[in-house]
Amino acid sequence: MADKKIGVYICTGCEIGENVNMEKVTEYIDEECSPAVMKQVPFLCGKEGLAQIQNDIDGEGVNRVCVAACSPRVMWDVFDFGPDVVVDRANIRELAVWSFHDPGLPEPEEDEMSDPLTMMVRDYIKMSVAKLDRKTKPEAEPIELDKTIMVLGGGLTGLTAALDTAETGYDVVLVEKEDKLGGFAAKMYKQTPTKHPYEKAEAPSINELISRVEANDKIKVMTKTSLQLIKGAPGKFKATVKQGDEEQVLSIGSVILATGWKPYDASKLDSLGYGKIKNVVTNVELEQLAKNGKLNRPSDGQPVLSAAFIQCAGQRDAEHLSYCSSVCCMGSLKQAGYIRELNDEAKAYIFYKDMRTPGVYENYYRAAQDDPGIFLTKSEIQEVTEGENGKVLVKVTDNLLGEDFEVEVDLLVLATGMVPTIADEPVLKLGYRLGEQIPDLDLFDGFAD
Amino acid sequence: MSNNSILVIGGGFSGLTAALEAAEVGHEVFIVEKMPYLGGRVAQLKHYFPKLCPPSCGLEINFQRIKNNPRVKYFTLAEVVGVSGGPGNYEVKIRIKPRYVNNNCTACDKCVEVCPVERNSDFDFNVGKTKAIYRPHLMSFPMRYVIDDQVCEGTSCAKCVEACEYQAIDLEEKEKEITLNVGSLLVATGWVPYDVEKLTNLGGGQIPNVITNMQLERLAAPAGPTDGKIQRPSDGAEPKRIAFVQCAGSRDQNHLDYCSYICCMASLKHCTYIREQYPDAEVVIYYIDLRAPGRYEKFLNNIQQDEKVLMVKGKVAKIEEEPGSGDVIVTAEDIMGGLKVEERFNLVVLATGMQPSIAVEDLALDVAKDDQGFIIGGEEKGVFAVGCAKMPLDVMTSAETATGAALKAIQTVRR
Amino acid sequence: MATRLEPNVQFIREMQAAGGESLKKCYQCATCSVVCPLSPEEAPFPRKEMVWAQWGLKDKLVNDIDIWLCHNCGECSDNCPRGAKPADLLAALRNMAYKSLARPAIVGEWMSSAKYLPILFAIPAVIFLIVWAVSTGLKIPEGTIIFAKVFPTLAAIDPIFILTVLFVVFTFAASIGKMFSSFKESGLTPKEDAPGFLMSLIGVVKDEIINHRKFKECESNKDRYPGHLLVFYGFVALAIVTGIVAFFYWTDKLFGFGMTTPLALWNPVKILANAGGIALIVGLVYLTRSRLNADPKKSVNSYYDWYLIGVIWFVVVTGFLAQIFRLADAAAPAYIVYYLHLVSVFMLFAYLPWSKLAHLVYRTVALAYARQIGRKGLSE
Repeated sequence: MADKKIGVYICTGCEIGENVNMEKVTEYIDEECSPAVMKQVPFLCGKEGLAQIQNDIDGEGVNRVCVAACSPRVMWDVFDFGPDVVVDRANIRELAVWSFHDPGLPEPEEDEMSDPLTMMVRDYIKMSVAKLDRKTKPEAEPIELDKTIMVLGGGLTGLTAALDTAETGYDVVLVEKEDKLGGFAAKMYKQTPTKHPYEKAEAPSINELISRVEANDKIKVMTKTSLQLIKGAPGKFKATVKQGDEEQVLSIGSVILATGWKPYDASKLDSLGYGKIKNVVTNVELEQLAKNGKLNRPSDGQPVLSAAFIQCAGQRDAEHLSYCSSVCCMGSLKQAGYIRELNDEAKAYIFYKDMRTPGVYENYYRAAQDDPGIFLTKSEIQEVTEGENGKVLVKVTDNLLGEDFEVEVDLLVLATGMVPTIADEPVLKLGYRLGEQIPDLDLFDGFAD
Repeated sequence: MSNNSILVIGGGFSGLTAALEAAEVGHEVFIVEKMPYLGGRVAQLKHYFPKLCPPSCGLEINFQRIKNNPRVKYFTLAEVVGVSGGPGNYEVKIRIKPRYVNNNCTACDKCVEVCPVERNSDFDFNVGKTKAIYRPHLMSFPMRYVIDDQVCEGTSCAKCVEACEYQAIDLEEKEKEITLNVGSLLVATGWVPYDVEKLTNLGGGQIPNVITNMQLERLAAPAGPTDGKIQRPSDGAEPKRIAFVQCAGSRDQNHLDYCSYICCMASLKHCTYIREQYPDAEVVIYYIDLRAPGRYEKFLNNIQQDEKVLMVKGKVAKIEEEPGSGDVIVTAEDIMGGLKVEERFNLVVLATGMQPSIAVEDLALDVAKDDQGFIIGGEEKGVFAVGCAKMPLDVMTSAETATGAALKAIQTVRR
Repeated sequence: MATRLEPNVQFIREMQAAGGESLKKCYQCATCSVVCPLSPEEAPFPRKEMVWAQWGLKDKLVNDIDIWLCHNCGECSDNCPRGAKPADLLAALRNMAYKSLARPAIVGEWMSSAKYLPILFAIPAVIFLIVWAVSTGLKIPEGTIIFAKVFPTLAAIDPIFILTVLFVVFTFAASIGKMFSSFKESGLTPKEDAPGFLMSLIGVVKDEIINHRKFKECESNKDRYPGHLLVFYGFVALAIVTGIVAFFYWTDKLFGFGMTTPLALWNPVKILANAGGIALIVGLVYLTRSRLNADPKKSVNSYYDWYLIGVIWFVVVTGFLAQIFRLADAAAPAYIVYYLHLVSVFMLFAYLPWSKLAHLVYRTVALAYARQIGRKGLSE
């Protein structure tokens, strides 16, 4: 780059000229910074003002331009003199002239202190010139980027990410630690609605997604594979993966973390009967029972004629999960339908704190509750005990019915929440000085922030 | 050969995000925005989730990205008036309304000083006023004034033209029409607050001290009409008891037949605004279900810790003005307490829901919508709905849908 | 020991069949309790009835006095955000009460569905046909049209209707007894300083029934106030006429002075009768129109509603037609229509305890009881 030649252009429009002692400013700047060119222009951003700057660039060889005028938010696109001219804005209008209020200080002894506004303007320009003087234009160093994208996790999210990435034209490596793709979605009997009118549970769409992924020749699927290490930098990662006993190193440009969630450890929910009473299961377990066509009482294989769902089994509870798991209200409405589908006389109770079916999911709530065999109430769970013949007794307080009561059911389902897989293990395995985990400020209870 | 460009209709947070995502992958993007500024609803907030930043933060980042990216072009005061062609090859006609202020404008405000006409500020939801020539808002991008031609007296007045030293005002500017060729369209037309005048039993638009949640945002915003002071519209008094009425129009088949997603969190956020200014003010939130999904639970917990914030399960269905005092009488059933109660408040905030903009003002684009006005189709045509044009969402989730839709649009134009 | 609840799904289906079909849609926002102008401060209705109904809590609902405090103005259903139609549910619960309170229960069954209508019609049709067969051998009598020629007052009409009235009165007496005990069962007992039942009853008639005060407060259905008022006063007028006519019939029989029917058109009693008839018709037009125009999203008309409106129309139309044919001296149509008129009147009165019209007794009693226990609307 050629020698730095600084031009200072002070706009005198927009009340700047009237309020600032320009003579003092230019005298000071000249003395302190001695720019190659310094001019006062009445309407700097206008055609003539810009032309003056351009003239100096062309004629005088000015290559650093200090625009002492308004905020860079205003006229942000006019002071562009090509890639070789560096421009800096000294915001003397908003930051000095317009916002300055005479503080009414006692008269200072030294002469120049008598005009604080002029001093401010002068200093802003001096700072800008100092910046221009020290700035060097960075030269781009193009590197050869690796364009393969690695997706970690072969559940619904990972599959969708892999497919969309491939369909946009990139090569994908999909890494799944289990032997099959599909994650939790593949273990579901039905899925909550995904499209308008959002009223009915749907047959799972995961299998279609899996076959599309498997059929896509841009996606390399690696099941039973674990990630060992990621080194390098964005665009140039080296990922070590292990399939069986075999390790290999992949060149990866970017990583999509889609390892999803695991169910909250229900053994901590013994106060709700889990682990103590046979006919108490989690929502994840119920899903599997339904998927396998074995939705019976675990204790004796007898049909389930009544089931209760306890929402927020652990969630929204400082002792367990302090957050809401977002999906459990929808999930229980769906699973209540499973119970009802078995037998027209079957009953499903849902005990909730708040029914959270935000946005369009309200449609599903409305449709699902319109069933004579589904009973909902806001409530607090007082106690879960074992009744006769393997039944489960659920006592609730603070409910909508106006008095405390209990119900006796064949099956109690705990709508347990989700814990991010990254909460307690460093899934990314970064070979970084900052640690193996995705950099996190720990704002969100283990979810990546 | 498919046209590689993408048109984004709507320059709010979703539209900006979608546009920038596509542009930063290398596509030419056009943003068509109806208002005279970009930023949409977020620009009107005091703070927004998830981190309670002022909008000048997140929006400013996006504006910087626009300024530094020559592939993004935007048109304000612009509307799509016709779309022809198909995926990969759309021809879109756009009408650009006159701004009457050209790019000589230095935002010096001299025109406003001389303008004799006042108007209600739509940006402030009518809690504030501007002149007929005005700056859209303090952080407006582009930072350029605009004239409301519905109220401006035109060339017969022209005081602003005289006052402008920079020849920035042209009262005779005419409407223009341009044509753009693009391969895919993203609809990010966003939402409008539900018309409270329809909430007659809640005194919507009738009782001065019953305001909407968005009006409260403007009252609380530092650059708002009251410089950030939350006060009663009727007399400017400090409110000591404030009620929030959740689901004002939402989850209601007589109004909006869906949950508007954001209003619970908005009211909880508003509690922080109130608490910041009035350490002793009492707040009651009347709700059906408190919906603080996912990680927002902590925010709810924090507000619940506040002893002067009471949350009552029971929807408010009746609001009346107490004659004389300007106070407002709210009737609700406190369901858990088993009582139907009338309570007096100084200020009532209706947590009004969101309605898709295109349910109110139709879009000149043939795309399937549900009975509430949300877009439910278009993918097969290379048209993708984003953010609240698709379903009620918060800012963060809208931005996620924007990224996803940008990818879909890129797939369309690369095919 | 917490109460064990066992939802009665069968009962839920019965409520849905009796008119409360949307009850499951409620999501417990309590808009209904707030907008109801009659709903009290403590344990307001109908939000709690909605959740009880959703849970099939039969015991709570059959003993609930609040279903009678509701005047079915429809404000709750109009404002319900879910289309759960609380007003229809309360109406359905009343319909079920009509069916279950009075004995014999079989009549309640017959009154609950259109498919039994032929039986309800056949009973009086046969009775009066027998009367006709005995009196004139099913022939149309010659000469001046006097309905008593076919349907003799002393020998047939009076005994039949006196027996009917006694039957109805005893039925009501028994069912009111049941109602009281059900209220007590649900823990509602008169306050210590409460007025006596009779005083409360007089209070209800004086403050509420005569002026139809509670109907006036209804914002949602402006036609119901004039409609119900006219029908009510039409019946009052006709009841007075019936009383006067009966009185003078017997004074004539016993003491030789009085009136015999048919009365002349200018007779003040006849004028009152016709005025009452016209009031009934106008009121019926209002009520029928509001039922026909009802938005199905807000309310659904049940069979109970249509039975009552239909029978009253039947009574009024046959009554007027019989008079017109008589004045026109058209003997055959006059006697036949009068026969139908008798059938319709029987259908109105004999089945009254099981029909929607029974509300005139049950609601009045419940309102009087509500005064004793101090249950009144928040704004009252």
